[in-house]
Amino acid sequence: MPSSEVSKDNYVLETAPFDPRFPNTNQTRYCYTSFLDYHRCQKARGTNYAPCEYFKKVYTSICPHSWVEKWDGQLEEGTFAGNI
Amino acid sequence: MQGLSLSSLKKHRALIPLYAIVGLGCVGAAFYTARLALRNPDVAWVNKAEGASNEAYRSKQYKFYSPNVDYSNMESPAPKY
Repeated sequence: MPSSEVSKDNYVLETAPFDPRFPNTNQTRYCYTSFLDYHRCQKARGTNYAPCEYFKKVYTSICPHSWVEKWDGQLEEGTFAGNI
Repeated sequence: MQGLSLSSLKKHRALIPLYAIVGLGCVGAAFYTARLALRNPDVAWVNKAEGASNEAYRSKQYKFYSPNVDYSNMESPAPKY
């Protein structure tokens, strides 16, 4: 979440909302799909497209940090398995 | 074996409820497994558009019974890009 733009007074602490596409207890796919969607969205709309940040907010909430670090590393090396 | 053919089943009528209940159980198990395999938003058989298998559920209810979440006017909050 781009918290740097939001002042501390009206900062809302929230997690990823319920998504009907992922109704089951296992949220792994919510995590991975959001990670893919964030990078696909940036690829399609450029890095300054604000709605893309929604996906980043979701995957930083849902995914384990170690997965995100691993995937970001793979993206840098060009070995990421997903189709972006 | 007695009770496995229609004519002998007439002599052993107590088996009819057994057959009915076991049959219902088999149909139910087959239906539920098939639903898990074919309708579950977490399951994809064709990986053409990776991660897009559950787009059909953006505003649909998958759960049989949902006392807490009202799906009637629920839409996925994810933006479309």
